[in-house]
Amino acid sequence: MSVKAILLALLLLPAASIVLSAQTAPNKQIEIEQHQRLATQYLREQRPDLAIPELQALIVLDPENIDAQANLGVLLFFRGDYAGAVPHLRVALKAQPDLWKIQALLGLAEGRLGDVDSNRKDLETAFPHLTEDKFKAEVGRALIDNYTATGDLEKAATLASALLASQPTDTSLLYISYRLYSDLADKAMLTLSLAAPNSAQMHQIMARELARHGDEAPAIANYREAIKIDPKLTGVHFELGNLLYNSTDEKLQAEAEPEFRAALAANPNDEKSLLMLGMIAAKRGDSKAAYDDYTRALQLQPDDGDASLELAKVLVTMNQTEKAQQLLERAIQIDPSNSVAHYRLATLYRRQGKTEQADKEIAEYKKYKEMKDKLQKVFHDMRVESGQKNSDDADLPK
Amino acid sequence: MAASKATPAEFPQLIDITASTGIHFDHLSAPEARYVVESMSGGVALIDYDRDGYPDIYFTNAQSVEMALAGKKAKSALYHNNHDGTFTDVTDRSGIGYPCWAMGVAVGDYNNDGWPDLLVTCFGGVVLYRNNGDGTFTDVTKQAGLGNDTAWATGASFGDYDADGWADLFVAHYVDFHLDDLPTFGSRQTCKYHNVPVQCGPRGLKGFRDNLYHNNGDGTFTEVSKQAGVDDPQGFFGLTAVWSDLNGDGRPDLFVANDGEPNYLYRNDGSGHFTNVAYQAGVAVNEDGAEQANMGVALGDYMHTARFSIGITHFSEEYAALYRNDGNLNFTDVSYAAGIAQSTTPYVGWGDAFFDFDNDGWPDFFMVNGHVYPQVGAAGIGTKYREPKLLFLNQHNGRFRNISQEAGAAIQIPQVSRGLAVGDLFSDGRLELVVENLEGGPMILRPEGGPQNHWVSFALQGTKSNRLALNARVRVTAGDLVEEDEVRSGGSYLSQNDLRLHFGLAKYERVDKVEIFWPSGTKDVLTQLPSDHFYTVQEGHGLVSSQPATRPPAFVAHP
Repeated sequence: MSVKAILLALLLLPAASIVLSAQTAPNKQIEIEQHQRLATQYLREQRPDLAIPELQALIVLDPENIDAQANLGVLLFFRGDYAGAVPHLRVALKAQPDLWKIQALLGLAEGRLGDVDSNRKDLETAFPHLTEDKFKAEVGRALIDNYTATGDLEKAATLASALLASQPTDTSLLYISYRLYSDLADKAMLTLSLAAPNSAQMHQIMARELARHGDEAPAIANYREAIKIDPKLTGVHFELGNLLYNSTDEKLQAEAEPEFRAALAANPNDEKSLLMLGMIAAKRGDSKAAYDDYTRALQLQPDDGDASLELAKVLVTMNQTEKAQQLLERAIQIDPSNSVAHYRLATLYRRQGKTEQADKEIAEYKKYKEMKDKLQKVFHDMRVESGQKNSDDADLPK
Repeated sequence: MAASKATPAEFPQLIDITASTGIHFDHLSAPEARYVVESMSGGVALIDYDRDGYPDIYFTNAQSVEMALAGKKAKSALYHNNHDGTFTDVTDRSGIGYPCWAMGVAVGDYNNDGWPDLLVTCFGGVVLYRNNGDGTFTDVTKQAGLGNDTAWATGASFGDYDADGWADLFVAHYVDFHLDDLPTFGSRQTCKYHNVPVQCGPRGLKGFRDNLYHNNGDGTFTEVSKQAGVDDPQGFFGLTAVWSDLNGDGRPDLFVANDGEPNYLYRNDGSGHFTNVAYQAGVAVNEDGAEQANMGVALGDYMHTARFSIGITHFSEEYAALYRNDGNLNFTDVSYAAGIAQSTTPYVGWGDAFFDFDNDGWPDFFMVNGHVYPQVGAAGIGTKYREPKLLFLNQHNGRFRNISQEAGAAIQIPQVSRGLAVGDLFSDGRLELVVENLEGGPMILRPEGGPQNHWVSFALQGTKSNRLALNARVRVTAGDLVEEDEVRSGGSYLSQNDLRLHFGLAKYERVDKVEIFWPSGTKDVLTQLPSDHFYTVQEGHGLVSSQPATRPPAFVAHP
């Protein structure tokens, strides 16, 4: 059901709700009733073009008729006559301030008319009281637009997060959220570059941006510069370690471990650095060190699925399959789409001769792996190849 | 694992003896390798085509796309072993110089006449050469019924899957690639490596289905891929195929390595049908469920469990995988635990082999490397086009020690290697490694020095079983050593090892017992054999000949 339909259904003027003034003259009263009857009829027939003149005539005769004012405002709004709608909505709202939907609609209309202040005020007031998901989302988006237009990105982001909490897969909300946080990042970077262009944080930001674009060498140089300026800069050792760890250059990979150790020295409860140190130890074949690091990481963050998974892996190499199995099951509980955990669990079941359970886990693994592969392909096709598709197709063998 | 410094005598050194052998083969290559088909050739076979007891060497060759479009061909080469450390080019006389745009090679005796035949895989099908027994070969591809295979064939392997005594043939296929419809170098994201424009493929291109040919026993084959359940309907990028009895039920199973896609492990169900159990067996993907760029395949009983584990080489940024065979078609990816993974990750690996480098009775692991993209150096990721080789010493406890830096300078020379074949070229009890490189000449490596361990070698002749005894298993017991190996066709990367089975015996001067499990189901047992001999065993007749080791030729090492 569209927002328009929701509003129309809710605002449809019930004939019984009309309370006529005692002072109304008989002829006028008849005329009012006639307009009322026709307006109701046209609304039921979904003929707003005919209902509007009837409501306008009704309001001329009975300006205190709040329902008529509200209905007329709604109809004019949906006809796109925002300037016409606003006075009627305001009258209705003044008479009855808890008409939240009317206030939201008023805010939307004000927004369309460029009345930014009234738009924000009305939307902010109405928004918390709205209960219809779709309408609330639309109002929320309008409010986000308002915040964005006025540069109040933090408020916009907070509101987007709140909306996403109830509609986590809403594509338009997801995009808005992505855009807002990107803008916020850009804003912070710009501000920082003006406030402290040679600061450690500025180098850290530059390093992140460069790393994101695959410019490994300058990213590393910026991280190192940041560390030189401020060796205790929060997160810098971990970020550099992560970049080095994922490098294809063996020499750079070897430089990752000291960074994670430095991160841990700065913050002994840095769970992510412990996790990475565990992974380095495991790769080296040092199961004992890996076990210790992962165990500590998991103590610090019991809900870290990655820590559960990695500890399970090292337990497998230590032939502690029972504990490993529990951890893999926990990792899947935390994230059911963890295909690696499903595959690892299948391996354990298979070793125990639990063929049926192993096959089930293989099926789960394949399901989620396929899902992720598809997602990766979507990203690949959309991010990397957009704009190239036609020429690319010409380059591919038939 | 902390690398301990080895004493010189702890193990041999691998020396490059290529210059001494008189082999002057050059594999052609396109400097820019603008097309994937220009990066994949380079198989080498050790084949004793004249049955003089000394392995001869066949190198495949491949032209560039530019050459092919100009109608030019590349010449493969057969080198005859002169028994004195040198070889003679006999290509022209043999008639196998121009099979096709050659990729790889496998040996099998398809007509059971006792003379090993040669199958060459091509960009454009396969060529079957019948060994005429007089130093010449005849192309019998069409009359054998293999002429319809016209796709890009890569790894092939002979094996008698139905135990009728005739070697059948499996041919893996790679990309559906055509010279009249070439992808444009660097044109799209799948034609870039770390943002550097490179050749396209295989990713982004279409794969091609594999073929199984049943040997009809009359010199012809019939394609049975679909009915056997090995037709690869998804068209994965097949590179290497090997027959091996991986569950010890006496029937050869089939392992197919697919590049960037899940491997196949076809369990031989009998009755001519196979079931792909790769996922259930744990060899389809790595330990984390990720597909890898599976290239070369080595099989070996590196833990003395009488089960063949699988070593697979991969692309750079992936590790060479070691799948330990735990029995009943259960494998575990132990690459990290075994000490193989980490040092193999930077390289693009190809041919590989389990071979007893120091004759201590425990198979070691060797792999050759070389990147696909000549442009990789420009990517600034620390990777080079030419790469060193890697040697891992078996530690007798399920682990290997990387001794690549300690086993001589030769294997540290960076090359763009592809094929690898192992065999005792000079019948002196030392296993040579013959490496075919994509660009330029091959490299022949020989272990010199190290402990003076004993060894024994067996050549098998099937009677009821297929004549070359493919997939016969030999178990050797000497003191506390119990080793097992299998005669196999194909494998490594596009290559063929010596069909004789070599066992290091460490200090033992005698073999207590030799058990031969023939594909026909029969078994021969030999006892109390002196070490350091070559033995020929015929199915049902036991030992038919024995030969002591010859004195090794003197070699000049390079560098």
